[in-house]
Amino acid sequence: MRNVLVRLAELAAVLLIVSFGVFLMVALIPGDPAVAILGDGKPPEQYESLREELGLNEPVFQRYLDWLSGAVTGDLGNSIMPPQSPVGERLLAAIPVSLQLAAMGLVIAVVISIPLALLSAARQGSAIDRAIGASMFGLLSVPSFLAGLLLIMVLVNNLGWFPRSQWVRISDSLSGNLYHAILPAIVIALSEIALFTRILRNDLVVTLQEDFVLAARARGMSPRRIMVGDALRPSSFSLVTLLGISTGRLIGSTVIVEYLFALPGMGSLIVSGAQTGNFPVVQGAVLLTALIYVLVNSCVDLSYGVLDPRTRRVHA
Amino acid sequence: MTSLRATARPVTRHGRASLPFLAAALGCVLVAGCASSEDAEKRADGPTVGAFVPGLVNIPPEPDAVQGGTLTSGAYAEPLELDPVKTIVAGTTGGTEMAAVYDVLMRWDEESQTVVPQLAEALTPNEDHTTWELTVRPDVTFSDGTPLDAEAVRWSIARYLEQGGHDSAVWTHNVTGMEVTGDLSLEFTLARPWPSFDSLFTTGIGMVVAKSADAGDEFTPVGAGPFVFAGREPQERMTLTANPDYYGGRPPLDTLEFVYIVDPNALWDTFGQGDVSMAILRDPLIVEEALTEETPGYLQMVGLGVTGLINSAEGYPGHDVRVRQAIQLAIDPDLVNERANDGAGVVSSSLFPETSRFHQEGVEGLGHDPDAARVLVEQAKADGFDGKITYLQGSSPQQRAIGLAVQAQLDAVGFETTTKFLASITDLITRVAVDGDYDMSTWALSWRDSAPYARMFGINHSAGGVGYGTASSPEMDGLIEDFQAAATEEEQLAAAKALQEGWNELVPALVMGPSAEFAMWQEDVHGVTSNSNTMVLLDEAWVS
Repeated sequence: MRNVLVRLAELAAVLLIVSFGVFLMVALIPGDPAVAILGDGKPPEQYESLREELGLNEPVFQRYLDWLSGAVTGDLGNSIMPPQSPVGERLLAAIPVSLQLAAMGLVIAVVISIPLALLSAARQGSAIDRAIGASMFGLLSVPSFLAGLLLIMVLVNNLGWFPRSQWVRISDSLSGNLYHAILPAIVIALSEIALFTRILRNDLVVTLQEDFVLAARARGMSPRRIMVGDALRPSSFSLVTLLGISTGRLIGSTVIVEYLFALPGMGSLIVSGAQTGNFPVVQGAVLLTALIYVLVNSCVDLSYGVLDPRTRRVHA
Repeated sequence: MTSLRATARPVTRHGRASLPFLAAALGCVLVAGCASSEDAEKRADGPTVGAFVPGLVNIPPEPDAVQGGTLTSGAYAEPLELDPVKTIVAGTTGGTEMAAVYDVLMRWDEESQTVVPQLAEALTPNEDHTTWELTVRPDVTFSDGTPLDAEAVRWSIARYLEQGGHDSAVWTHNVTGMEVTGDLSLEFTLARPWPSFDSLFTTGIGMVVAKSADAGDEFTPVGAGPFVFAGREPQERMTLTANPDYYGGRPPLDTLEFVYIVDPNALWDTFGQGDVSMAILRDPLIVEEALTEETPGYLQMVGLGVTGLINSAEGYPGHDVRVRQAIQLAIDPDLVNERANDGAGVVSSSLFPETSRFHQEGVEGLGHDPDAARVLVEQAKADGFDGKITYLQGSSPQQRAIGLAVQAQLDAVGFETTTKFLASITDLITRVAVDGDYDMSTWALSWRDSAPYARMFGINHSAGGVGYGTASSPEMDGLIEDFQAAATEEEQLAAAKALQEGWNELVPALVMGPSAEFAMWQEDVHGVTSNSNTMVLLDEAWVS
């Protein structure tokens, strides 16, 4: 119980620090939301009047406190850019896109990286191991915008296998949704595949030196069963931790992929909000991202006990 | 001083250019080169430069109309609101969406190069164009069921003026009276002759907003156009559905969907895949590629689309006319275009380049003359100018290329230029249009051929109200008013010539050329009609 309370306090502190930091940063970005709304060529008094109406003339700290007092009651305010809909509605429209992309990207990454890591660890030091290692370093060194452009050039423009842009919501068409989401998810997955494979392979190599593995070998168990049945689970600590970190990171940081494929996710929401000084939207989006990040990592902590019963005593 | 350079970029169908396909791309470049010259011949009677043939281009024969279906259009930018008072009414800023909801009282007909009635029945001037009578069609209703009569038009125009719509300054400067003379008629009295007054009704002022639009806490788009606002997902799409009570009858299309794809290359590729039926783009490379592929569409060349504002307020370098002249003389628009667009597009230092209907041989802007520029800078320095100038630019790759090319050329004639690449357009507008604190800045003055006077007046007339600190003078005011009063083609050309000469003396801004705006559609889209500002009207459009 005490652990839970401590964790909740930590969560609140993290969210408070993150929200205030982001608020300050958005306030420091050059540009005026009143100008973004009215455009150019209006009399100065019209801009001034709108700033007053939006509360932009209040001191930054006061604006933050006003926002915070609403946020603690679940009211994240309204977008200050038209359409001035509640921020909650904007987040509800964007978060499924980012969650789905992140989830699909991670599933693709896990599905590909586990067999690669198992193969690489089982053939440690062989040509296969070296080839996989070199390929993973290659993938890691390719930034997502470049990978995205290359895949678009080959798979979209030249082969025509995937659509170039737009998002189809699951409620409109499941097949259409998957068809439009798969290529962005692959782009997201690429660097994760490299990371997961490297981490898991290294952990597997260490695990394979453990006594219980040697004992299993001595009992004549097949190498495949040893790898999958005995070595994989205790080698997954780092991978699971990384999965948690990646989930949180991917929710708000797929900006480039969202831009490349014109997807209306959290990244697009945060960037457009920052560009126009739409601080309620940026605040809400960052807060939600931070919340997901912290919650996922808490779940990861709890999963250690499932992966290795010996750790339960430590956490108890 | 107008030229078109052959593009050096591999040109293939809808951007499918890649290293393995360079050989094929090279072949396409050759094909594109041939296609360009053919395109130029397509409208021998119109102003053309290379592939850039303004007007409705590559339109296939129209089959019989088909009822129903959805037309999906990739917009250039997402409008914040569908309110013609608050949003600039142009095809690139949501004008087509607004025209679908409100319609326009008058429209610009590209083929006849005249303004013709649309929602209005007629707009008729008296002999000297100082009094105009507008007649509204009978039995037109807004989508909320209320009548669109003369009083509704008056209310909508009054609302536009009261809330400071984009053309409100030009209206209040020129229109001295607006009177409802009957259920369906209004009379406008002007302070001076204005033969092209009717062009104002092709944009924001001509979009009649219903009173119920302002009834709620937030603006709701309610008009009498062929479509009704159905909903929007911000940053994703906007949906309009057919208005069964439209005065011209229910439009053929059931639904219009505008999707917002920020990256122009992604939009062009999406158009190439056939996932959108229409798209509007203005990147010179893409537009040229689309034109050489004979894509159907509506091309408008926006005069003064690539310009640099020069602040002439006291205390800024541009206060000295020699500095402004030196800036124009120092810049080679061809070189800038080569750096920024691989030479695609049209460059010119003229107010009315070859793509303009007001263009005349021998009427040119200041040409590239670095020696003359150097002399002027030296003279200004001798009188106390320190040579330092700050140039504000955007931060896209194209804008960075323009910024660096301009900086290099200014430095070469004796300026000490600092180029600041700003992170957002909002920041740029704040610095230039609101604070007026800049030396020189990228901008688009956008003198559109269909109705250049309104923009001329707004920015370059001393009473225009949105000058951004650019130079104006009583002489320039007089030249703009002469252009306004010109009724015949002969008078218009004479006024355009005088305006160019006056501009060359005053140099309110650096002119580097027009920009292309291309509203393009697939070959199965038909019945699209033109309006000013690259807007298209979709009341008769259908998909075969």
